[in-house]
Amino acid sequence: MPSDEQIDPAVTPEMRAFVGRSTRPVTYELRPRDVYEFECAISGDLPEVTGDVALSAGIDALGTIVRTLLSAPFDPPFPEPFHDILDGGSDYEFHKPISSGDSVTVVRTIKDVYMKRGRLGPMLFKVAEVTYSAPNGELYATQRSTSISYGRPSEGLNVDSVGV
Amino acid sequence: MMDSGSERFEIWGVRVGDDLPVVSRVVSTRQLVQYAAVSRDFTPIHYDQDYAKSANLEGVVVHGALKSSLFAHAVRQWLDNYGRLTALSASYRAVDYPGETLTIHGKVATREEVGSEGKIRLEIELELRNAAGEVTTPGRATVLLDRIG
Repeated sequence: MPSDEQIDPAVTPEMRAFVGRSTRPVTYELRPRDVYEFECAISGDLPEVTGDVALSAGIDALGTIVRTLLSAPFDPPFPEPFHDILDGGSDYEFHKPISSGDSVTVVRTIKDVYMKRGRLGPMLFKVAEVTYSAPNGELYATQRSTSISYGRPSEGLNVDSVGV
Repeated sequence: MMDSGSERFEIWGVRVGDDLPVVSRVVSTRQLVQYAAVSRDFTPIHYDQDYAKSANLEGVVVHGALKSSLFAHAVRQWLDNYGRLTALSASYRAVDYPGETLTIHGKVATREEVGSEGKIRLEIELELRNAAGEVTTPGRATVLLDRIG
């Protein structure tokens, strides 16, 4: 764990400049097997190696499957000061059911950046809003997520790539 | 207190203060690997014990988003086909470790009739507790009951 002297805990102007910035849209088509394997991961069941997963095609995909549809990374990347990252939490609103076969466009926008000190030392909080929308612009879901980075200096790691 | 046994649960009679059936889950390290794969969250604290310890954790930890999904799954199981989840929040205040028994608790906090079509909106307070009974992840769900079942 770095000492406070090693890392300036202030939010820099470069970090602050990301507030309001959005990722480029990225579009996915949700496949039946995506839904099936997501459900298996939640239940702890092993997915069948082969077999017909078409039965999953029409079902509501548990809402939180949108979390599997990562936004594009920021380019250039956020100037992350720390190496380690935790997911602080998420608020989801599900505006309409999402099912396999749906096309979903994902955009992430940084809403706030702030620093706190805690048990793990200085911690950087990033609050982001993620929108999941249909081709006609109608929203499937919105997510407001908080990521917390802390600990060792980042050494250039782009923690945005993990999507939390 | 609601009965999670064989008797058919009458969801339309749910009242403020009623508890959802408690759901117990043990998340295995294999499940963490599965979840990492489907969510594409390859943060090493979820699969690399040495890395996790170097990040001041006791070992690999359960993905926060997996805990959200466990909330969603528990609520959907309870709803059966009598409604849908419209909002969900979870705050990951403490980490949880694979291999320990996690329990998901829910309590109906509000009940409100919506419109003239007999729909009912419920707010449900959720808690995910670790094996010691500590609430590591408080949450909240909003569901809309309608007669689609």
